[in-house]
Amino acid sequence: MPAGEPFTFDQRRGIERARRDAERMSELTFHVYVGATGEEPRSAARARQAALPSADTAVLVFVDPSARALEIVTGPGAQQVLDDSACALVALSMQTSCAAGDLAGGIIHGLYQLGDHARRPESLHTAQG
Amino acid sequence: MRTTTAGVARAAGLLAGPVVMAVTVAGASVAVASPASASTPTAWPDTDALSTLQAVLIFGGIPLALAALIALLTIVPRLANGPQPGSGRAWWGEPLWFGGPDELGAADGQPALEPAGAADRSTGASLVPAGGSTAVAGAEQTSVATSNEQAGGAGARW
Repeated sequence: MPAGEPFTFDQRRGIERARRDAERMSELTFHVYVGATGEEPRSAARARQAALPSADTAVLVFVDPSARALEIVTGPGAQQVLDDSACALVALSMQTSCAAGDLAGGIIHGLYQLGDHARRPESLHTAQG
Repeated sequence: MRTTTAGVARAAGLLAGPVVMAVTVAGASVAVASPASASTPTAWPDTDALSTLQAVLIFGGIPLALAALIALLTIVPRLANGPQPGSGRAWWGEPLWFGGPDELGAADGQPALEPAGAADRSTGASLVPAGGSTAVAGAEQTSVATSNEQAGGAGARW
């Protein structure tokens, strides 16, 4: 990987694909922020989530590698399909990957898990897709 | 079919004799066997008995020392190299957004982002509109705007 690039091209593409797949699975929008903020991670993550367009249905996966912190923030609308216990479960599995040094892998798997938890119920009795 | 069955029966009959004999011989030898009666050879030098402390040192201390040595050999190179890139501490890159606020406008036409687009357009149908055209939605919207304490989620440290 070139100097100054925290992720390889493949890792970036994997995160982007996981993000899109998670959005396709659910009715939510997913956003990933990776970077050092120097602030308290939870409040920094909440501020960034609130600043997103359509923050109500947005899910922000916030990773601060220098603070060794990760946060999953869901808007009030997103929280209805993605409750806090599901987020805690995903955070736990992401934490394991991050602690092993696999930041990108943790984010990718976390996104897929979040999308899976928020999967919209398939309506089998209607014709609409 | 019949020939196969007959063949199997004949083979079993042929095998039965030797098997029964082998089992009988083994059983007899176990029953007759006497306890082993070998003693220490007289040619061996007579040494002092090992004290408990010495035994603990030899059978406990040496394995522990070996384990510590092997652990050191694996840990020291990693400590000498410093933190691995991407493992935290040394974050030298610019903050990265995936699906960040800047990208959303450019990503129109992506099927994945259609729900977000619908929410943004504030048509006020099912999703909470930004303007708050109905009373219920308006109330929800203010509570979101005044504080994001309502935001849910979870966090972890590593």
